Amino acid sequence: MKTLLITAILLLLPLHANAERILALSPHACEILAAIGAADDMVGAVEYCDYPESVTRLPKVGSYNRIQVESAMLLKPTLAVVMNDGTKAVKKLRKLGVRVIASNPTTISDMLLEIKRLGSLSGRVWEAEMLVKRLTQRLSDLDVMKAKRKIPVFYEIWSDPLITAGGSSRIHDVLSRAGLQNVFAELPMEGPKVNVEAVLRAAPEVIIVPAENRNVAEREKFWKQWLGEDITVISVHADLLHRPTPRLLDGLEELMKKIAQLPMQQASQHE
Amino acid sequence: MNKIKISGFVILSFVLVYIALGIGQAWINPFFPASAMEQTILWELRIPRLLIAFAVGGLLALAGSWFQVLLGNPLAEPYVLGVAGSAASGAILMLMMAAGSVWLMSAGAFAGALVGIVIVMAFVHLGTGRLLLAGVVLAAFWGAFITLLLALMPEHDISVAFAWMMGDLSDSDIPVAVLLIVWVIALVYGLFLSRSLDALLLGEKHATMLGVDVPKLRRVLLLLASFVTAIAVTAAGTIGFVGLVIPHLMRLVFGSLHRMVLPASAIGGGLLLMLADAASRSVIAPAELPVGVLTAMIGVPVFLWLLLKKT
Repeated sequence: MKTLLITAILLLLPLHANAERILALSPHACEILAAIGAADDMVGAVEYCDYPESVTRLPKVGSYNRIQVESAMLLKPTLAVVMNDGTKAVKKLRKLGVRVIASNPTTISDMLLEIKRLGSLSGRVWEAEMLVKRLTQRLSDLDVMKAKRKIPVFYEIWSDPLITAGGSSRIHDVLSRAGLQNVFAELPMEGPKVNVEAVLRAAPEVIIVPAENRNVAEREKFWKQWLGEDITVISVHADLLHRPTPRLLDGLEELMKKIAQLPMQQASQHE
Repeated sequence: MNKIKISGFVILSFVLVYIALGIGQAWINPFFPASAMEQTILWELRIPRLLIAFAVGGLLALAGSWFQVLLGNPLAEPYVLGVAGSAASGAILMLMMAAGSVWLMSAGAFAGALVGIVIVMAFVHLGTGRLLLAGVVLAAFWGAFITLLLALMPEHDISVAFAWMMGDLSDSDIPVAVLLIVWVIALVYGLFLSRSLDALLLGEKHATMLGVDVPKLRRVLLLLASFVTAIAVTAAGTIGFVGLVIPHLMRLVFGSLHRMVLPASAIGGGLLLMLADAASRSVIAPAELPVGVLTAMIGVPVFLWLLLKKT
């Protein structure tokens, strides 16, 4: 009843009359704003803003860490959602009267809060609430799928040099959500460089390789050579798992399904 | 006296190899690895990596000692003069145009090193001050050029840039055996030239009087130094100051005759880089530091000290 009332009030409010002109200056800001139906208020984006289709047509004003202030100001923005609000370009935007919001959620829970925040900033409170509700439901559904045993995994962000996800990274949070044990959780950096020896000692049972710019079959051969034929190498969709957006749950689900299908997992389910 | 020094050097080398092999995320006794995993780590990871570091360090030290004769300047070194940077630029350029071919990459590095040295040579007659200034500016230029190339690369990633600019010995595109063979050839050829090098060190006039064909020797040195720098850079990226610190140290210990300086540098450079690499993978293990950071930490104070001593 209460929700219905709020809904009615919200629908009656002339929210979109004074709509903001939003610059979405990171790929995840583009996706989140589009997902809560604010695509029409977006006037500019940056490189790699490639989802959904509707945001690809927006004019690009540089990349997320190198924003071109002039082309940005030509779009007469009133609100800018940026990833890092410490850069000179962002300070300039603020000086020129654009309201700047920093957004860089590092966990899935933060991402949900971020959706609500961007919802209220763009006048899409209702859409944001609904989306978060759906995502929360889906997260608890996924949580049931979680394995009983925490499988130790190595996440290969990059192959040469070998870069993995440290304990403070977004990917670490995703791995924990999936019920996996990141073998380099104790490293405080976001993307520490490690070596094969360190991976051997950490003894992961599964290697996760984002299938982006990489030959997964070759990586599989590489890891089997070091960790033995028993090692499982699975590939995941990098754009889904590396961006803090609603699609991250698709990536999480894909990862969890792949894990659940592993023989070791099915064996432990029957125990 | 020299015999004592040489035996001391040999004993020290063995101790250093023992330490560099044993140290890491956890200590492994190089003679008695405790488990099958330690055995694998020792033989298939640490030893190949140690050999890469040894060969690359030795090549850099040899290149350094040739640069110092070629340019008649004790502060000359591939990294300081921007030649390592020009070699890396050539290698990355080839990597972008013909992805995957190690030999084209090495050829690119060779061409880059040649270009770098030829530019540097134009500044030799202006004295140490201007030569070093030119080197600094050139190094900055090649650094910017590499950043540009990496920004243009489709799979651009910051960590790849780090590997090229700060050195990475975890794996080499050139097989270890090839690196070691190049090390041997470079050393033997250097020894073959050692008398002429000694003469050239005393001055061009003096060398000509002793019957050395100076222009020809310079051409040979130019090609040799470019080749060796190119191989080292293709294998491990740009690593600085090994070529500066080691020949200088070896001259202090063994005197300035090249038949002693060259083999001592080839081994000493190898040992230094081996130790620097052992430190780079141990200090914040299981994570790694870029090895070039450590050689710079050692090399820059030595460089400054040499600069002070000279004036």
